Formats: sequence, structure tokens, C-alpha cells
Amino acid sequence: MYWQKILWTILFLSVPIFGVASFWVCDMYGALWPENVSEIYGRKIDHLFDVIMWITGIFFVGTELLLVYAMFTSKDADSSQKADFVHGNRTMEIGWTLMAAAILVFIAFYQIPTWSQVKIEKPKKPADAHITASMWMWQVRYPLWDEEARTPRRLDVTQPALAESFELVNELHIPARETVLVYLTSRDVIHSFFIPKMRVKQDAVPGLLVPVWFDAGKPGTYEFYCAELCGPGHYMMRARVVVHESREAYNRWLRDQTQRLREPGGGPEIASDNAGDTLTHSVAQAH
Amino acid sequence: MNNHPLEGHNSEHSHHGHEMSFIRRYIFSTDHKIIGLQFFFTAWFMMIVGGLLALLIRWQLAYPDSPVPLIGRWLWPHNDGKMTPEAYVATVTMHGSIMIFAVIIPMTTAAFGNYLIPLQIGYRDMAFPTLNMLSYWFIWPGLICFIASYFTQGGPSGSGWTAYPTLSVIQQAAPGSGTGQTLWYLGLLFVGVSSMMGSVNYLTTIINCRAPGMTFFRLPMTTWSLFVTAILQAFALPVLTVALIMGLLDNLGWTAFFVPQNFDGNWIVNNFTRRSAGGQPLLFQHLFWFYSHPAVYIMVLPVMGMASDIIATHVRKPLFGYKPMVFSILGIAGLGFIVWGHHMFVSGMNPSLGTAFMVATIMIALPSSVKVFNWIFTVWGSKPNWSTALLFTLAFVAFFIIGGLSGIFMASTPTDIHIHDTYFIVAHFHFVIMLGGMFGLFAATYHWFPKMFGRKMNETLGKLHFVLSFLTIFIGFYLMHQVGLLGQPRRYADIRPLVDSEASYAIMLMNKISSHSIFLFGAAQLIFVFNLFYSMFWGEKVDKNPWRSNTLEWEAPSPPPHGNFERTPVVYRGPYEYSHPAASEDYLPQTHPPLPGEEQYAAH
Ligand code: HEM
Ligand SMILES: [Cu+2]
Ligand SMILES: [Cu+2]
Repeated sequence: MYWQKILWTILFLSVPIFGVASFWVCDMYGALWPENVSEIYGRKIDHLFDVIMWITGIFFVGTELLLVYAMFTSKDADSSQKADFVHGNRTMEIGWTLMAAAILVFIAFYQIPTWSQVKIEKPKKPADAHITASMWMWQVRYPLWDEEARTPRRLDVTQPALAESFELVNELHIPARETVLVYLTSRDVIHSFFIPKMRVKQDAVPGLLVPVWFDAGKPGTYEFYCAELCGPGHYMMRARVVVHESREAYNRWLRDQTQRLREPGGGPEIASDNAGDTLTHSVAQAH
Repeated sequence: MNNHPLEGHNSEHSHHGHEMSFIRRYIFSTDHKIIGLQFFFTAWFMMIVGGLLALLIRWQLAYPDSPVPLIGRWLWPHNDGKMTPEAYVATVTMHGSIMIFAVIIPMTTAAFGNYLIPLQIGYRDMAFPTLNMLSYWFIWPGLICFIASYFTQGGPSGSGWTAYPTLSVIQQAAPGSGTGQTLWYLGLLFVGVSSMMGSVNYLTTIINCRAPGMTFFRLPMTTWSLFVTAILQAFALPVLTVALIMGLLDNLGWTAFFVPQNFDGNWIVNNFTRRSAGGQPLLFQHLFWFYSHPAVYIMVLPVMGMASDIIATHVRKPLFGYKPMVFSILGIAGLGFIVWGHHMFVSGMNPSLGTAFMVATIMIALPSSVKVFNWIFTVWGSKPNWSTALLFTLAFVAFFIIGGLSGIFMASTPTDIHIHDTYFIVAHFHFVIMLGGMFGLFAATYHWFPKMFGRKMNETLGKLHFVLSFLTIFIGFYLMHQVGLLGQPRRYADIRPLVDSEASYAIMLMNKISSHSIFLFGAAQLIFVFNLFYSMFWGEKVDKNPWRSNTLEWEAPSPPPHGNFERTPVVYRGPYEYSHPAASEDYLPQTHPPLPGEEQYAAH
């Protein structure tokens, strides 16, 4: 029986070992987290990930080792000793309850400010875009550029289909290094707006208009996609976020698009090769 | 037959034991053991069906571009034998629905619940045997609806086991949202009726039919957990039933509970005002999770109870902290009713509400951790017999720890934003339900098999089954945490390539490793199926108490006859008096008359 005990102990030891090692290897090869390009919101969320990872990691290894140790030090089945006749221990029960409670209360309260910041305290600024999800594309509506005031026009998110705006499909343009505010809704079923590299996700619900805010510190093109099952084409509901260098660059882009729209036969630059052909566009990206 | 629980004695059973026909005895039986076994075999059978669907899913995730081996060319000839996206979402939906509603819940509550409750409390049957029989036959219309949906025009439902509107209630929304979805609603309603009948029966039986001396605090943990589970069912199920009926009516186009304003046929025309009159898709989510969060505990509490009994028996040591174990079950059940919103943090629900649900959810990890510590300290200083049943139970503990800890990431609202609806969630609930719950059920099968059939399952095959299952399933599901953090979403028919992800290669690699591990896991289950049937007929014959266990079910013959006990057992003590210093053996059955001086060792 002794060899059995050793064998099973080793087998169970593989749980904490593989558990930690596989995370570690993934982290080493950059295959644990998507790059975080956000400087304001996403960074706070990653900090929480770190804190929770450490706490749960220590508990994971600790409890698994405790289990393995208990198995290892147990009495041999063929020994003449009986098992300990113990029904419990009030001090230990109270001890670990209080310890676990303290840690859990800490986790609960430590994260509240971040949640408020990312989901409750809506930034006071005009909407940058209005996104309508539908099977299986994202229609993004932007304000037109106001040449006199030298600002974007006000996007009335309650009447997005009206004038003063133009639309791109499957492309979200935003400026870098500032909080971006978009409004999200759906035309048919529930979808979910997910930009992994900015740690943002929000369901798009028909009948609801939900504000979402996030930021990107690093210019570039990133992927966003649908995270809520919305039918067989769910997997091809992928799109791009284009992060412009700065607010100025973004404004220049808005002005270009607006001008193009004013030209006879013109239309927004990218929309022309997307419009009416969104599925091919998504599929092209998916494959 | 008069089977009122409050009258009659166990001795009265034998009158109608003999004249019963085969059909009354084995098919439309009112004997709790036969009904338990009917559920047992039905659930294992559905497990095979659900498991094969899972293998299909894993094939698609690892090889989205290749035809499905063996059946692909036959099922999807127009797609070169590759799975279509429609088939993929239908497979995901039916896998989840079958596993939860036709495998785990029937297996924990109905199969083991039926079999064990009367035996563990020392009674001859359930309080309402006829109701009990009906509860079995009511799952069949449900299963038939599920199966029939495969033969409808659009195929089975493709809106996930969660069936969120409006995808599920607008028939035109997707192929599976038509008749397939209608049948899904009907199927679930039937299965729900079955659960409700069971739950009423268990509550009545446990409250009224306990043997003399069997106080509540002498109940084995299995019965305690089934008792609390029955309470959860009784209070949560009506809400699901309401949601399903509303969804069904919406789906048939008669009402618009979950369809927002201005819906006209194929499109929801949205004018963004929030005037009254319209329906609200989020309402369904609230109703659904009000049931389905408690439902995850309906799935796991009985397993926790059985694990407690099995560990104590096989390590020959009293359960550490019996009362804390009972109170933590009650705590989990109570808190379980106020945490449903953690499935909706990013659903569009008011985010301030999210904060409240977050605090409640984090607190539910507290009773869970108390249980883990108590199991570990039961093993501490014990004398394990290293049986297959014990190994599976210890694995349940080891895996439940992982599932509980990953729950913290998801309970934390800001971090849940990133991992919600990714493979991290899939990892979490498989660690609790599949690696935890299913392993607990394997353990329970190895442990109570001798009671059911009078023979033991083969231990060598059992250990082989254990080692292979343990390694394959652990690696297979563990890597889902990583791909989830990397952003791999759930329910994607084709995950390639997550375009700007530098990790695309790693994601695909990990998916392949997962899939192959899980294929091996599937193969290892053949050993189990073989062992199950082989041992039923040719296994080693054993006496009525092969594990030298204390609880009442082991006082009855194996298999117990109709009516269970020859004499009504009388209970003198709690169920876990193993290795009592005053006893000559290392166990002390609940029915053993008091030993001289026993009091001084009593639990405090
Ligand atoms: C320590 C205790 C637990 C905590 C803190 C916890 C927390 C959570 C949270 C917050 C979610 C929602 C995540 C999301 O969708 O973004 C979730 C999902 C889930 N949990 Fe747990 N959980 C715990 C234990 C369990 C147990 C014991 C089970 C089942 C036996 C379970 C089964 C599930 C299932 C099935 C889902 C996913 C449902 C779906 O979206 O399809 N959890 N859990
Ligand atoms: Cu989608
Ligand atoms: Cu839940």
C-alpha cells in the first residue's frame, strides 16, 4: 500500500505543478495576455488581474499542497494504528473562516473604484461614435466635421440615422491618448462589443442604448469582435479599431471624410469598399 | 397501495412484493431504487450523447478546416464534410443543454437522490412513490423534444444553453430559432416538471420519514445536501418555468415579453426611445439566472455531500467539521439566491447593481473555501484505503479548488469585463461541474455500485480509468484558462485567426493540445463503460457493507429488496464515527447500540 500512497501523491502533485508551470510558460512566450494598449482604464483592470492572480495563485498552490501533504502523511492502510479520532476543531474553523473572509472582503472592496471608473462614472464629453450591431456587422456612425467651429458636430445618439453624421462598417476610428465615448445598441439580437487589447466589453442590446468608454495609448490597428452568441455567423463578426496618433490626426481624418462626402459622387473613404458587402469584408478578415 | 409516509411500517412492504408483474416492477415501478436506477442509466446514456457532441466541438476548435472524421462526409456533404457554422452553434447548444438538464441534474438529484435518501434515513421508500414514478417518466417527453429537434427543418436550437432573447424568440433570427427552439423550450419545461416532483418528494421524505433516532444533525452529508438542493429546486424552478413559458409564447409569436418595441418581422427597428409597451430582453436574463445560478449549486451540492460521505468512509476518519459543513451548505444555498447578476455584469444592466452582485458573489467563495479546508483536514491523520472511489473524490476536491478560485476573477467586476464570454468562463464551469461534479459522480458510482448490484466494480480497471481520466481532462481543460485570457471567445465556429493577436499560434496550439487530451479522455471512458457492465454481471460478489461504512444504506441487503430494511433501523449516533477508540472495529454503524463510555468521545 505504501507505493500506492507515493504514486497518488505524485499524481496529485502534478496539479499545482502543471497549474503554475503552464501559466508561467505561457507568460514567458507572451501567450497569456493580449498586449494592453490602454493607459487609463485597461491598465487599472490589469492591475486588478495581477492582484487577484497573486492571491488566488498562492491559495491555489497552498491548498493543493496541503491536500497532497495530508495524503502523503496519512497512515498506511496495513499499519495497526487507527486513524485519528478527531471531529473537527473550532479554533481552526473560526481561524480559516476569518482569514478567508478578510481576504475576500479586501478583494471585494479593492476593486470597487475601478469598476466605478470603467462602468459607472460616465465621462462628460460628447459622443465620439454610435455603434449599431446587427447580424453580423458593426455599423459605426461618426459626426461630420464642422469647418466653421473647427470641431466635430454634435452626434445626436438618440437620432443616429439623421443628418450630421456618416457611417463606416466594421471600422471604428478613435484618437489615441484620450477617453473615447461611444454609444452601443443592436438592431436585432444581443451582440457584445469586445476589444481585448483595451480590456473593454459591453453587450449591445436591442432596445437599449448603452454608453461605453475606453482608451488607447498606442496608435495602431487592433481587432474587436462580437462576444455574445448572435447566430451562426457570430464567429465572423470581427472588425477593426483604428487608433489615430492624436486628437489632431483624428480630427483631420474626420475632416477628410466629411469633405469626401461633400464631393459629387463621393463617400467616406473606407465605407465605399465595405458598404453593402460587409459579410465579404468580415469573411476576408476571418480567413 | 397506501404509501402515506406517516403511517405504516417497513414490515408492511412484503405484501405487495410478489404479485407485481415485470412491467410494474421494472418499468412503471414505484420503488425508489428502481426509479433511481432508471435515472442512473438514462443519465449515463445521455452523458454519452452529450459527450459525443463535445468531441465534435473539440474537433472543430482544433481543426476548423478539416472534414470531421467518419461522420463528416455523411452529415455535411455540401460542405466537404466540414461542420457548418449552423451545426456548430446547434452542437454547442445541445451539448450544454443535455449535460446540464439531462445528465448532471438528473444524475445528482434524481439518480443518487432517489436511490440514497430512503436508504440513508432508514425508510422503506419515498413519501410519494407514484409521484416519484411520474418524475421519471416526465423527463422522457423532454428528452424526446431535444432529440426531435434534430429532425426539424432548421435543426436544433442554436442560441446556447442560456437561450438569450431576442435570438431565441424571433423565429426568423436564425435557422435554429424556429421549431428547434420551440422544442427546446418544451423539452426544458418537461424536465423542470420532473425536477419539481422530485424535489417535493425529497423534502417530504426527509422531513417526515426519518428512522427513530435519526435527527437532522445525524443525517449523512449526502442527505443533507440533497435536502438543501431540494429547497433550491423548489424555490428557483418556478421562476425558470415562468421564463420558459414567456419565451415559448414569444417564440410562437403570440407575445412580446422579451422583444423590444417596434419589432416588425425580421428587424427590430429601434428608435432609441424607452417608451413603455415594448418587451425587454434583459428580463429573460434575470429570470433565467435567478434559476440557473442556484442550478449550478443544484448540480454541485449533492456531489459535495456525496464526496463528504465517501471521503470519511474511505479514509476511515470522522468528517472534519460536520456542523461547519452543514452550515456552509446552507450558506451557499442562501447566498446562491442573491448572486445571479454576476452573469450580467456587462449585459447592460445598471452597473451599480453589478457592485452589489459582486460583493455577494465574492462572499459565496467563503462557505466554499470552508468546505475545501474541511475535506483536506478529514484526510489529515487518516488511514486511506486508496480505493478508486476515494481517488475520484480527492480529485474532485483538487479540481473544485481551481474552479472556485477562477470564480474570483469572474466575480470581480472589472476583471470579468475582459474574461466574460471567453474560454476562461468555459474553463471555470467545467472545473466545477465537469472535473468536479463528474468526478464526484464517478466516485459515487464506484462507491454505491456494490449496494446497487451486490458486486464491486473492478478496482484495477477503476484505477486505470482514474489515472487516464485525471491527466487528460486536467490538461485538456486547464489550458482553456490561458486561451480565454488571450481573448478566445466562446461559441465561435471558427476561431482563426484572432487577427491582430500575436498569440494566434499559441492559441491554436493550445486548442489542439486541449482537443487531443479530451479525445483521449473520451477513449478512457470506454474502460468505465466496460467496467460498469462487466461488474454488473461478473464483478466480485461482496457482502452488504463492503466499505465498512457507518450509514444506514449499508445495513440493508445488497441490492436492497422492495421495502429496503427487514426491521426499521434505530439510530444512536452521527454517521462518521470511524476509528472510534472504544470500538473494536474501525467503524461504528449508526445503528450500533451505544458503547460503554461512548459519550466522552462525542463530537462537540
Ligand atoms: C467559488 C464559488 C463560485 C464563484 C465565485 C463563481 C462565480 C461565477 C461568475 C462570476 C460567473 C459568471 C462569469 C461570466 O459569465 O462572466 C460564473 C459562471 C458560471 N459558473 Fe460559477 N462560481 C462559483 C462556483 C460555481 C460552481 C460550484 C458551479 C457549478 C457547479 C459554477 C458554475 C458556473 C457556470 C455553469 C457558469 C457559466 C454559465 C454560462 O455563462 O454559460 N460556478 N461563476
Ligand atoms: Cu455575436
Ligand atoms: Cu452564477
